[in-house]
Amino acid sequence: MMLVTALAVAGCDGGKDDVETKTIDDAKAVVQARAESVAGQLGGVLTRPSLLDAPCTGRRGESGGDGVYFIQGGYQVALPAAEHVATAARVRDEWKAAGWTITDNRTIGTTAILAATTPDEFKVHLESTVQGSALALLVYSPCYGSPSGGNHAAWQ
Amino acid sequence: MSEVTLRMLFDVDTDAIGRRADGWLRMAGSIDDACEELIRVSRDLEHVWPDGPAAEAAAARGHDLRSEASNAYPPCRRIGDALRLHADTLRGLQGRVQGIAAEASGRGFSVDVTTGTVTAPSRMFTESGSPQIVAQQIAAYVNEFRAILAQAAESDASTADAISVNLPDATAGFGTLGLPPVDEATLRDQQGRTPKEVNGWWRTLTPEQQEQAIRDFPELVGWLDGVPSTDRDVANRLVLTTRMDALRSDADAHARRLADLLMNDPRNRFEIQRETEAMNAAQSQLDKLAEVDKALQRLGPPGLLLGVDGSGDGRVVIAVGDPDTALHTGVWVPGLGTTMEGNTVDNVKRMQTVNAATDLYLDQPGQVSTVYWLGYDAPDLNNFSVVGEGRSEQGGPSYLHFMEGLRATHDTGPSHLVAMGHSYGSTVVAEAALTGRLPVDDIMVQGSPGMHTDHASDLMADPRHVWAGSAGNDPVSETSNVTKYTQLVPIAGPFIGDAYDDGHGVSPHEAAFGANQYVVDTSGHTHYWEQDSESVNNQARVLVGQYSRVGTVHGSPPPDVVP
Repeated sequence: MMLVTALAVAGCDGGKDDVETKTIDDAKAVVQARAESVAGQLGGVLTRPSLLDAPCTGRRGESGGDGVYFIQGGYQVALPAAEHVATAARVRDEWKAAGWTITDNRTIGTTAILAATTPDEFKVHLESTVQGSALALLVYSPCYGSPSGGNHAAWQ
Repeated sequence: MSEVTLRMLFDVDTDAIGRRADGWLRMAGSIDDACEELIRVSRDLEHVWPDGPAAEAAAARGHDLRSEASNAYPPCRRIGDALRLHADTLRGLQGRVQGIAAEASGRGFSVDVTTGTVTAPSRMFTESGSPQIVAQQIAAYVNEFRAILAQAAESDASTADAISVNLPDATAGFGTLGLPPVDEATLRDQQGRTPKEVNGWWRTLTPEQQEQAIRDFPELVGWLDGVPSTDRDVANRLVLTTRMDALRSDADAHARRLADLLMNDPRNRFEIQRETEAMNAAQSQLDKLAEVDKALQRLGPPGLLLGVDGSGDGRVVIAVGDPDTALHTGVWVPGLGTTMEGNTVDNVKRMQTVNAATDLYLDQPGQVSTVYWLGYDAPDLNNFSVVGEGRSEQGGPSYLHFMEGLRATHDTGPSHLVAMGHSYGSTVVAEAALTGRLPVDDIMVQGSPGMHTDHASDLMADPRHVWAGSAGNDPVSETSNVTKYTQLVPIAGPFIGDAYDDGHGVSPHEAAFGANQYVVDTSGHTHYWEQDSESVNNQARVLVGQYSRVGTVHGSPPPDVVP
């Protein structure tokens, strides 16, 4: 019994940091604006949008179930496969110039994978779709505190 | 085709036959859907309008209409299946003709596919030194062609027969006589058959029979591997709502009885205790089912309930997206400490996370299904069941059967199926895979303590299709950490650590195991599904068959699945 107790509690010793307070709708609007900005850099428009809120977790995986959440924006931007690699390279340079930290930068044939963290702690991820007719775009906000507190559950 | 010739076989457009098969099967599907809708909207007519000649006439007409529409489905499906088989057969025979012709040409013979003749140049007779052998070779080729033509003719005749016997009667159509209802014994018999056989049987039923079986025996249909997922969903939701209503009523009755006892007979401790226990038992089971209901409510339309049973520790299977139509399906087994009432919502969320990440990689939405499979009794947190193989040995056969069911119920399009397991759940996947019959394209696990073998090639014929992720500080998969923790347990600690390690074998992310270790950037044992992580991205890449994109620590990924 002590074994399983030890396993169960391992890795959960963090706490809640101070975060900016924002309503979910406002946070979604911020993510949407950031995604539109990236789509502009890519030279396309956002399709298949999905904006979800989810509880934040700390560096050690602790749940921010006390009203701390982030927004995940998922999109596609239509772009011919032949342009993915060059476009990603151009955007990567623009992101670098803007002070973003590149965290992934790969090309596999005509597939481009590019990810970065912005100075204001957004995460942005670009990746070619399987069929190659678009780039998948994911934008993750930093953690926000809900003005009303309480738990946040995604996909409601 | 009265007499099939090689030329005819050669010229057959098998794609065109295949398109016609698809057309019939689509029509069968539409009839099935329309029948279900018709049955659903008209089944209560006799209850709300029971009396009078007009009501009787309406009921009779409704019955005839349901039967006739329902009777149209099986023949339509049989014609589609026959055409599909014919197209596949002829395509295979064309390939064999081409192969034989190429081989014969390569050996110097001339093949005329118009006449079906094989000839040898005169020099072959003179140079071979044995004209008889050359003649025998020619005869062998001709005989092979004849055998192929006989098979083509047989396929042609059986297909024509299937079409003619399944066409509606010129005057009576498909008839209004309903087929006999499915009884319990017939359904129980199906439990002993393979999912493929069950699927074949289910497809012979009319929609009216299927609906009746679902309505009368939802518990049996709901867990029957080989029944299409949408039908299982209808059956299991019926089980869920019926059972929850009964439990609420049961709990309320015991609560009322308890209140009455406390008010009027407070010294009757025996009865008070009995009513309290009964009320708590009903409430406990209700809590489990309520968690399932909550998960389904959150999911909305993409959710399919493929199994539910609140008795004992509870079992539940929930799909995010329809696995019967998805291009890519992953079926995930949870591990240590998973309970129906405590983890269903959170674990379904994990499946949503992986589903959403995978879905974005595809041009069309809705082509991914991720299934939460708690079809076994997961090890408990309050005993040592986690260190043994008993639970996985019990769960492995059920998981294998379920996966065979998904193969049987998937439509005719391509299907990439992935077995997934976390923690102890990976040992359930292992038990199924070690039979050599798990019908999957990839195996992917996270936080695995071991998979009951020392090498990935025991799980998949091609170990490049075995994937394991492990966070550096995961105390379960990093077995050295287990030992570290168990050392803290006085006296029995080292023994437990050894038993845990030895019980499940080497962790599959270890290089010696021979699987691919994918990059994990999350922390601990329970955070492999954080949305903004490479842990999730890499799971999505495996699930969608884009292996070249998966970040690996070590291993040799196979070629990508061609979209």
